[in-house]
Amino acid sequence: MFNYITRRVAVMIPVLILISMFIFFIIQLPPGNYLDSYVALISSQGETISGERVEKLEERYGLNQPVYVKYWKWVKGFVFLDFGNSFQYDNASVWSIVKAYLGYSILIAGSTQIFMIVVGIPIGIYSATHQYSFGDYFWTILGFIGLSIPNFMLALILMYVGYFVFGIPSLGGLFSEQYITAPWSIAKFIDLLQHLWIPVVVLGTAGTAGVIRTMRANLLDVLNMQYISTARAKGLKESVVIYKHAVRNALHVIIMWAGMRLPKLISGSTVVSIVLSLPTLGPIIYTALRSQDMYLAGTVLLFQCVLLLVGNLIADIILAVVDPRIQYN
Amino acid sequence: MSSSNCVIDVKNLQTFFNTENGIVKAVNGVSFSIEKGKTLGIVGESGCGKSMTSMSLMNLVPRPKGYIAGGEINYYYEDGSKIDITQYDHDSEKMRKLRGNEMAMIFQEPMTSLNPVYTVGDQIIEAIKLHQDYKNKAELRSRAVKMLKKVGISAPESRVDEYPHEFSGGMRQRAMIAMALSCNPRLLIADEPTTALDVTVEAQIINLMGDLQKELNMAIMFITHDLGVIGDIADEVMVMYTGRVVEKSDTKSLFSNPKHPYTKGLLNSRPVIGSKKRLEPIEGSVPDLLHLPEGCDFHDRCPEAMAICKKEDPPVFEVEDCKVKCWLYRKEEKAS
Repeated sequence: MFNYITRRVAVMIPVLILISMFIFFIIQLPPGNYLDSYVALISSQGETISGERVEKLEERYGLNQPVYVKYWKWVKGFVFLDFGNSFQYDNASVWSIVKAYLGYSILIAGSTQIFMIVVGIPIGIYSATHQYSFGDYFWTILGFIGLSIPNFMLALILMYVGYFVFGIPSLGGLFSEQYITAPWSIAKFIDLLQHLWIPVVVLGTAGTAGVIRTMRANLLDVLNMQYISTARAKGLKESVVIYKHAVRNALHVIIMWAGMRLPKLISGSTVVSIVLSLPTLGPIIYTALRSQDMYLAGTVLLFQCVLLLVGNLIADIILAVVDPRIQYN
Repeated sequence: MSSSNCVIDVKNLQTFFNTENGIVKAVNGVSFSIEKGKTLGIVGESGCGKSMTSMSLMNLVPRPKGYIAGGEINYYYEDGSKIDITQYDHDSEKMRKLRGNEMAMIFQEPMTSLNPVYTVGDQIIEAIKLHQDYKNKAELRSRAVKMLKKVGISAPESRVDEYPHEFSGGMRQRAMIAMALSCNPRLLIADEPTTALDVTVEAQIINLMGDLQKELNMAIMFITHDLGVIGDIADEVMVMYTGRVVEKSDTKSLFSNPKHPYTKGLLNSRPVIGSKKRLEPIEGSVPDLLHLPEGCDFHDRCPEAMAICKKEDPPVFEVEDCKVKCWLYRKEEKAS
């Protein structure tokens, strides 16, 4: 197993190099560069900027250099966590920006992931074992509603209800005002938890509904398997039959799905993060792409790819633990 | 019927299914009993209620659609006391103590009848732990190894820790038998246990079951659609069609002197080595249980159908110690 993990991690390096090339190529595809959008922004504000100055800026940022030179400038410092500098944030290093948001992004994504699994799987089990009962229909309908409401809409509804019904002043952000700059303390952590559930519910509702549907379908399949009859014929309690023999065999798809879901939670959180003013990478990549801040955009995309690869690796490891038929040699 | 040797006595069992199109009578008025050390064979085409009869005995009819609608299933304990299975909830303690302990079951598909995520040993131990008084792990394990050895698995000490996917089909069925017999059941229900196996393996499994039956003196209910197999193992044979028993007799007379046209059809559709005779399959197929024909269920496939067969469902006639549900034997009964 250890060898397998080492090998998988080693394979990730060439994969990431290929991905970085691909990302850079795509980011270069739209016409123009950061300066063009900068000039457009300046002139839209009624100011002018001389052609000479633009040329000078181009020189300074190295935007007139060929693609491979720009690419090399980006990747050469990767091992030292140097991803170049951002244009729009006054030449701050990309890593310092990503670092500030990455933690909260992973926190929100991880909590959402856990929320979806912890809520979705038990309901899925209930629905499958009580097929066509009132409870099953109830969760099915609720699940379809959850699937069909857009995230930002749910966020707006929650904020509206929170403000007008419960009088909570602001559901946005991750901290109350007094804690934003305060050092970490238990009170700050509790405050974080009080704010965290909203994005988690908003981001996780659709996914939870998906988990319920998947779990229900898979478990119903498994319950028809012969070995479930075998387990019952042994004289096992129905609950043991379900939880020990059936559920473990119904988890494959959920595990694979959860592994692929990780980066989606970051890109998928863009709109919700803007609505709820959350400090995640979603809005960062959105503005970076709009203003053609190529190193920043590329780096965030790269981190999403890393998350995808890591998520898949974790899923593969968990699968091997859950199902002995899967062997990695 | 309830002599001291009787292990199970089924009376007028009815197992129905609620479907969108109406009630399917999967088992409709089946009665039989099996004595200690004896084997009852149940034969019939697919969909004639064989498997549902066995599931009813285990009280494992697929819920919520399936249910036992009527009849009695009396199981007799060693001490002579009895329990009517139909009166108990499938998940009640009494039922759970009965299943796997007093009566055990082997299924049709050895490839899928063991849980792929637990070792073979764990699954056998699970059954032993549930019903027997072995406390520590070493004892449980040695019991599982002993069972695997008994069913003819070589190197049982190492194979006990292997997963089902590391076993071949025949070995999995042996492991299933080991699991079923691990608590010395008094009744073994075998639902087409050899259908999915090679003929050579099939013969081994049948012999194994016969040997173990002698050793443990258990009753066996053996379900199959293979008449050749039934001839080897059964003392008495029950032929089922559309959820009903159409003929019941001892094995010898069933083969030498089949009474019901359906039984004759089954016997004619099976190849006999050395015979150049063409096979004569039964025309048509098992009717939809929701749309059974008027009169006898078999009349539209029956080569000997008479006028009355289309109108009235035949009762059971007793002919020479056999029970036949066919109008052909009406006179003989009157005569006797």
